[in-house]
Amino acid sequence: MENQTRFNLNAAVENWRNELAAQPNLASDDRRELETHLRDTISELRQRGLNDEESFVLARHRIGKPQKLADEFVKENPAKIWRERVFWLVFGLLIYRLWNTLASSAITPLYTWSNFHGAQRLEDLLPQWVLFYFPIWLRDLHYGPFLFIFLEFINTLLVLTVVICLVRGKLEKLRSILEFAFKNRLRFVLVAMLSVMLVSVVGNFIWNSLCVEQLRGVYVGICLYNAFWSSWIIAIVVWLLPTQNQKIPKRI
Amino acid sequence: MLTKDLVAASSKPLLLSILAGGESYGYEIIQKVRELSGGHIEWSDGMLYPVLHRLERDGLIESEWKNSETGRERKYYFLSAKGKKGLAAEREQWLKVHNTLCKLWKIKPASI
Repeated sequence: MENQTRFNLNAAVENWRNELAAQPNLASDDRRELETHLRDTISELRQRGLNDEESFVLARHRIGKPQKLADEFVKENPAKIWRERVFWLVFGLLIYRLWNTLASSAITPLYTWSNFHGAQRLEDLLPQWVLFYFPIWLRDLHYGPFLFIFLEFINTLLVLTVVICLVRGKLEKLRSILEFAFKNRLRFVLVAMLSVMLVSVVGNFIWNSLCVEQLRGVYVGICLYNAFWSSWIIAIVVWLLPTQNQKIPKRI
Repeated sequence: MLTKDLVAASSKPLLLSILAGGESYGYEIIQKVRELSGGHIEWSDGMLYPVLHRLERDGLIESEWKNSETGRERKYYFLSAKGKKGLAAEREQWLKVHNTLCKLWKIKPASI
């Protein structure tokens, strides 16, 4: 009897709600829905003659442990976690690129070279056949020292387009092909590092085939150096992901 | 009691059929399934919502938060036009399995 008077149902539900909130895979709408369910169960048990505490304990038991609940939600929508991880991966990459572009614009040989040669417009960097695909107003613009920032923006735009497609579920086939890379955190980090290195090397080849002759080769060293450091930044960002330590359960 | 696999496989036609009878919410759906199956189909509370959300993502059902008679806000689910077609397809498939088994076991099949 003493226990019953001491038990505070609202505080208990509040505690339970906090436990749910600690699960990164449960959206606020999911939590709200689960709480309604818990309260419905409690009401039913009370009608059957159980006291507040007994009703709460039994209802909580029926609904399951928060961790297990979150796993059930992930099972039905594994792409959700996958998207979140890719988001963080790209977030890290973008931050690194932005920082790199802004910070290194004064010191890297490429920028020094371009400043020295007065590269201020796209036509100073790109051959005619590439320029052909740019609108005229973009070609004629004088970017000044912002030229490389503009190019970085185009780069970023490409990455962003892929990510938006991924997040909106447009590339589900690609997702299922890459599923093996998302089984656990370590594997994801390794695949992420390798991908960043690979993208940089491929990007370097593309750059070499696109840029004007004088610039070819200048970029190689910087590119590989950047790729090495970006991959470490990515590794750290991915390691600290909010969903850390969670293996993705197999879909039923 | 049904096996785990059968519970998972039958959840879609059961949910669509229940919602074909009118909108409902998670707690009520579980009660209804328990009652209709005479306690043989026992859905765990945690399993139901992800399935409902998957059906919603697939466009078969829709949902809306509404105040219930008791004043408690609940998320109600209802069948979409696509869900009605989905239910018809599910019904056809399940009845095919049912009738085949009935023939094998020499019991009277249900009418399609």
